[in-house]
Amino acid sequence: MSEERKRILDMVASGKITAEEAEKLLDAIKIPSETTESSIDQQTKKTPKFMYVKVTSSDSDNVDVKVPLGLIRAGMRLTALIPPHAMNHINESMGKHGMSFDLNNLKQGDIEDLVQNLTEMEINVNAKEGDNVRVFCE
Amino acid sequence: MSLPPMWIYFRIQKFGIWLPFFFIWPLILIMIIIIIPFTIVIDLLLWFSGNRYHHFTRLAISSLIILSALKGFHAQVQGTNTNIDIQVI
Repeated sequence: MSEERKRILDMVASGKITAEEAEKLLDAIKIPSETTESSIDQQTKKTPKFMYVKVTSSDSDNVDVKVPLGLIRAGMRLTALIPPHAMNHINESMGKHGMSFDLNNLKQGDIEDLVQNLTEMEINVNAKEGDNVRVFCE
Repeated sequence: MSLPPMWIYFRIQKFGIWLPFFFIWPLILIMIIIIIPFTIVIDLLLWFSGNRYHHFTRLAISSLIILSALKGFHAQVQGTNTNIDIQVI
């Protein structure tokens, strides 16, 4: 029994509050703990484990790829071990292809945030010819 | 922490094969154990000589981590004349 519930019941026993008032107080203390539990459940449920890429085409050419997110994490961490001259070369090449993204600024915390928030990501592309591309994490 | 991958399944068209990855792990570990002292020496030499890059030991260990993280990978390509399936279990 929690401390708050015990105090409320003691107050009813000593006649300080009525049963109706005690019921309201008990309902009030129940709601935050339910919310906390459900948000904790949501957090534990939400860590994605795989990234799925599914391509279906009208010609019956299908591609299914399932990539463990641990592999993506490990790969991103590997960027910290790329030699500086190679890193500059990679950044230049990415810049030429329209991706002005500096891999030197990638931090461990950023990678974890990215992976954690991938649960909400879903990309759906439907083409006129009936081709479909779907990217999501679960 | 989950176990590293134990099997790899390759299928091309109608021909499929299960490869026992667990036989390779001891060889990989022995190779890493042999390589690590050399990478430590190289890293120390590079560090003392003032070279900015001296992470060969971390690179060797990270390669092992990436190999372990392959567990669960699955790629399947199905076409009219193509049928390729790769699974790492």
